Amino acid sequence: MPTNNLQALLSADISDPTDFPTNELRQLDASFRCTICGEFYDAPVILACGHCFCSLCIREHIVRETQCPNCRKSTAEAHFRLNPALEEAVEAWKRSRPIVLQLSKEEQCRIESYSHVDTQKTPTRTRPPNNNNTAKRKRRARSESSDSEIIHVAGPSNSKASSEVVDSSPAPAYDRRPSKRRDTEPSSDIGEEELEPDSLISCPICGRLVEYQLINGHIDGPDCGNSKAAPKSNTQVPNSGARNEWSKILGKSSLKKGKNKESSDSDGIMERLPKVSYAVLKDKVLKDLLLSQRLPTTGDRFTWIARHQRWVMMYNANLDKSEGNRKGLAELRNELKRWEEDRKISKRIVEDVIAHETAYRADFQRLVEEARRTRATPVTNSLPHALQGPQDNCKQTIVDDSEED
Amino acid sequence: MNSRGSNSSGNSAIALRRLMTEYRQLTSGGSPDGMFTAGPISESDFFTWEALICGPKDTPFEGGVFVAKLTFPTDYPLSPFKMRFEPPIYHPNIYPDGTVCISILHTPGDDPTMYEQASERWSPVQSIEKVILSVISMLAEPNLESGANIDCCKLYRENKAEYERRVRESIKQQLGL
Repeated sequence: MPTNNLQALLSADISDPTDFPTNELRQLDASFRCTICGEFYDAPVILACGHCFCSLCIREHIVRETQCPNCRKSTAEAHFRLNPALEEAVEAWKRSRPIVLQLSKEEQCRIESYSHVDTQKTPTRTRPPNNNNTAKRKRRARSESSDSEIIHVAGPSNSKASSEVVDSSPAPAYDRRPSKRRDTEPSSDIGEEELEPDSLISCPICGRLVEYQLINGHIDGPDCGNSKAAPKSNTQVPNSGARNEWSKILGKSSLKKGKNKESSDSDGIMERLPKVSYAVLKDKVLKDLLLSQRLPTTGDRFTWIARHQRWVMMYNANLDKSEGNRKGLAELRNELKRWEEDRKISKRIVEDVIAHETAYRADFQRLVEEARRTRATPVTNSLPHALQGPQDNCKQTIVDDSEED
Repeated sequence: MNSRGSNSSGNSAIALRRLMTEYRQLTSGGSPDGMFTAGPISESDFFTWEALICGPKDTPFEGGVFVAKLTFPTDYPLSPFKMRFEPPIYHPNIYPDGTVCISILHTPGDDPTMYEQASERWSPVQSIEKVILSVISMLAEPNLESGANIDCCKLYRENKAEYERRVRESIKQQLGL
């Protein structure tokens, strides 16, 4: 078992919808995720039936079964349609997710602590903090003095381009009680108690004028010039250096990401790789096929086929991303290599069969003994066929499946 | 197409991530009505889980708590997992060795009983939660068309009272009453 892998994953802290405290946000987060892998859509494609999956996930699936995993309508690779709008939405959500997550958690904390601290002020405290509407209600009840800003919650993309005064969803969490969170910004130390929540101050990083109460959210958010330097957890948005590299590879400027329409087919440099019927190919042709893609030719024929098949899948799935998000060929090759290493761990190949046999002879004998014993018992059970008949059938089919090539 | 490449090889990293996500969702969301819990037996092996299932109400299984072992393939969720009750339950759709025979855990390719609709088979969008809920409803309403324990099927059809008595008996035995 890939233990190291597991430990890496345990520490990696995989995000999932239940990170959020409320059901609405969980549903929102879930709606950006592929139902096969449970991750955010990566190069989403729509099938003829309208269901949407990561390109790679559905490509892996239809090798076995040419049906939509959701509704089982028949489907084929030719039916895939790109979904750049969803891809964009996912990217935007990935960028704003940390902020929303933090806000919702802070809100949760505050509601809880608030109900402990001053019990005489709010009338709506009786509800449990998990109630979905409570957050909103609390906010209204609390901010008697300055509630004008609470209603206008603009999406992050709206305020991105032009607005001098940043007006985005972070607003409510920082109103009235900035003292809760003064760990990061130096500016928060300057006489914060005197400032009105909606007075303008200039951002210490990008210099833009921002409402005082929004400054924290602004610095963390994508609007501020700082955000490129700040490490972002979930985003796959490359830094500009890497993007320049890619634009060289792709032969076009990929910097205007999000604006360019899908134009890969006309590109000429990256065209989708055709499927190959490996069974009819001789070893040499197969090898040339790998070499033409600059893939390694180590291993046996089965390894080559698996490698090439995977490569075609990854390559084509990569083309289903919008141009700015695509990976370079070198990166894809690295991923292929990792995939092969991963496979080796999960399926150890015995190289020297005889040595293996002698090494594990005792184990084999013990297992054979055990198998004989368990086989002997059901006969006395007056009903041997109930155990054997259907199950044998089942095994038979599996074996057939794997041998059809 | 060449099915060998993909059948035998899963990307276990993807399987792991998905299993961890499902685990987190099960632990934080909780199962509906608290009818079951499930999780990996040890932290070092995420591909073997154990599920504790409460017998559904108004059935002879009421009051019982059943332990099932779930074994995941490395290409999960493209392939379904296997589910086996340990110790076995006396039920028309459970093999005498405890393995659960339910269509949602069969891929369209394999059809041990030849009775199943392709529409109710495994697909990668199914989840542990959905499967266990299906098993719970299977406990309440056995599917006699595709029996796994023929003896039990026969008894269920011919003498349901005796079947229920036997089930209750076996539960009492399991609980050590």
